[in-house]
Amino acid sequence: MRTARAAWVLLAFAAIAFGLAALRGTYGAAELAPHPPPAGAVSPPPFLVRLPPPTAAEVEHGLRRAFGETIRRAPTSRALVGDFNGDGGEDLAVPVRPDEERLAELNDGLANWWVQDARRESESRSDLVPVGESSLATVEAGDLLLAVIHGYGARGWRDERARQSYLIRHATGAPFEARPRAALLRYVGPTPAGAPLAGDVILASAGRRAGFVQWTGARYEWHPLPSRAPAPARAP
Amino acid sequence: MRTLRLSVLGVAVAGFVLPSAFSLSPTEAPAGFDNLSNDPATQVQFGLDRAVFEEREEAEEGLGPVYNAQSCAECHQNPVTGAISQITELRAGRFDSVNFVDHPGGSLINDRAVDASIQERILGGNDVRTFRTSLNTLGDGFVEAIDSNTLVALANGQPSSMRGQFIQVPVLEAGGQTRGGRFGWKNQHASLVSFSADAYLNEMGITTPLQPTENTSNGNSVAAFDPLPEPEDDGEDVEIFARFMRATKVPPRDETLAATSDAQKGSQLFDQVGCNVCHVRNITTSPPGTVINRGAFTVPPALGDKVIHPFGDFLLHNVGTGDGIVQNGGQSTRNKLRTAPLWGVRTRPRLMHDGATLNRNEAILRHAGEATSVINSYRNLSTTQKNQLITFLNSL
Repeated sequence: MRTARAAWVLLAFAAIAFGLAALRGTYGAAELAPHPPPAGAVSPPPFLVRLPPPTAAEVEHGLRRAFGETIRRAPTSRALVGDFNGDGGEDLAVPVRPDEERLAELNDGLANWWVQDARRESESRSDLVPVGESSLATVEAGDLLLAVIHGYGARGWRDERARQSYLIRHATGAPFEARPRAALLRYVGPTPAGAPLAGDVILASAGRRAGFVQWTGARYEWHPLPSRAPAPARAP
Repeated sequence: MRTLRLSVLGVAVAGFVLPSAFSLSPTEAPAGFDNLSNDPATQVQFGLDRAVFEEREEAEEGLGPVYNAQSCAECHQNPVTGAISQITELRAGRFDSVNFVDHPGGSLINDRAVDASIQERILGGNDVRTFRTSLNTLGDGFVEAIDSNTLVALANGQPSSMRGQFIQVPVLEAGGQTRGGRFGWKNQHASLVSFSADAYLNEMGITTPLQPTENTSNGNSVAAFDPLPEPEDDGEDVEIFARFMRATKVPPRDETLAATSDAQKGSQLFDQVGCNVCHVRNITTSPPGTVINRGAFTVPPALGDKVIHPFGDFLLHNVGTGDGIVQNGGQSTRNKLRTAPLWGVRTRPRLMHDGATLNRNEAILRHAGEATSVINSYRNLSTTQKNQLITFLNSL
């Protein structure tokens, strides 16, 4: 009687194991054809929409959202908008001054923004030890910096989620105007200074040299303009 | 008598089924930067294959005429053969306002040539340009053994605003039938044989039966500099490269750092802010015996039913860093890149697809687009918490 019970237990156990094995598939089974989500479910890229010009209050709000109280808008400065990083969303660029009481916070390697120098080859260094991560470019008292906030979605830099931001040295020279990428390409020809033009640019001189600030995919860089013609046309 | 029959039947069924039932529970994939095979039984073969992976080719052996490196290990070496390096490749083309258009001769601009007169360079008008860092191949055999449906399930499990794109790409050794892409920055390959044949041609300029057509120099023929008939290799090397990668272990954690309190808190924060939505921690490979690559490969026991921790989902995402280049996935993938698997990231000082970001914080902040909500959660962490999260990353 005990033997029979043991046999039934063993059989039951084997049946469970067989069921589990069947769930896993059998040896030699082919990978089944996948059924990926329909194309419509793939997140669509943002698209550029024409937005009204920024108001002073909107600019102030955007700056506070991205940089807190660490900077203030430079007096009489102009706010530029354009798709500077070429992702289809409207970005903001505005000259600012640092709060000199908050330089340590501004230059903290774990801050929520990048400090970059538009005229420097490479602005950051690698630190394997996390404490002490820092950028080579630093904000100094009295600096005039270009604050850039990248846009998100259809509302661009006005969107409350738009917090990707930069403080850029050497990027606010005259005439400080935004130009569409296409206009710059018409002016400088097809290979401007080795610059991979992703989006709109900011015309800004450096010293006496006319040039433009553009996004490389990882940072903002200044490039000289060829000195043969007037600056490219304004955006329509 | 009936009892005896039942007993015999029970023992027979149990003996047949139990082994496979007990093999159901997946086990950890072996990890190590140690130049050892993931299957000790194949160690001798692994050593021989590694030597071929490291072998430097010359023009007389088919190298070039345009190429990027003389051996696989030139780009896949740090800290052991098969891993990463600082070497980047250059790609270019143009955007015609609707579509990406390849640079003449293809988007890959080879950095080297056997003769200076055929050196490739970026031609005017091709202002979409990017560098791409060399990728880790350690543990790629396990990645190949992931069922395509597992990748689809990962995509389906992601929020719609962050849903990764799954693409199907040709498996060259299966006559071009398609399978879920998982290798390369654009997920342009699904099998290690296809990936090897592609790299042998595009990085080293060596043609094989699977990739029999020599590259050009900016669209111009280089036949005058190519002494060997095509294909320059009979395909054996490609099989060896694939066999080598299939036998590698996965990149190991820095266990000492991982055991620290900071790294463990950082690990929790990694999940808490949502990095793990795309940088997926755990994936289980297909069971041994599963036929993959559209019939061209059967998952061996060493690769089957293994848990890996790639910290990646092998799907394409737009996180605002897209390089504007299209390869196998169609125009919708122009600004998308495969989630970088973070296993072994501690061996990389140059970060992101282009190697242009040099510290962890900036690499995190560089994410935008689909990753915006996650990165904003990171922004809300305290400095201490950010340091903990970065300590965790440095343990991978």
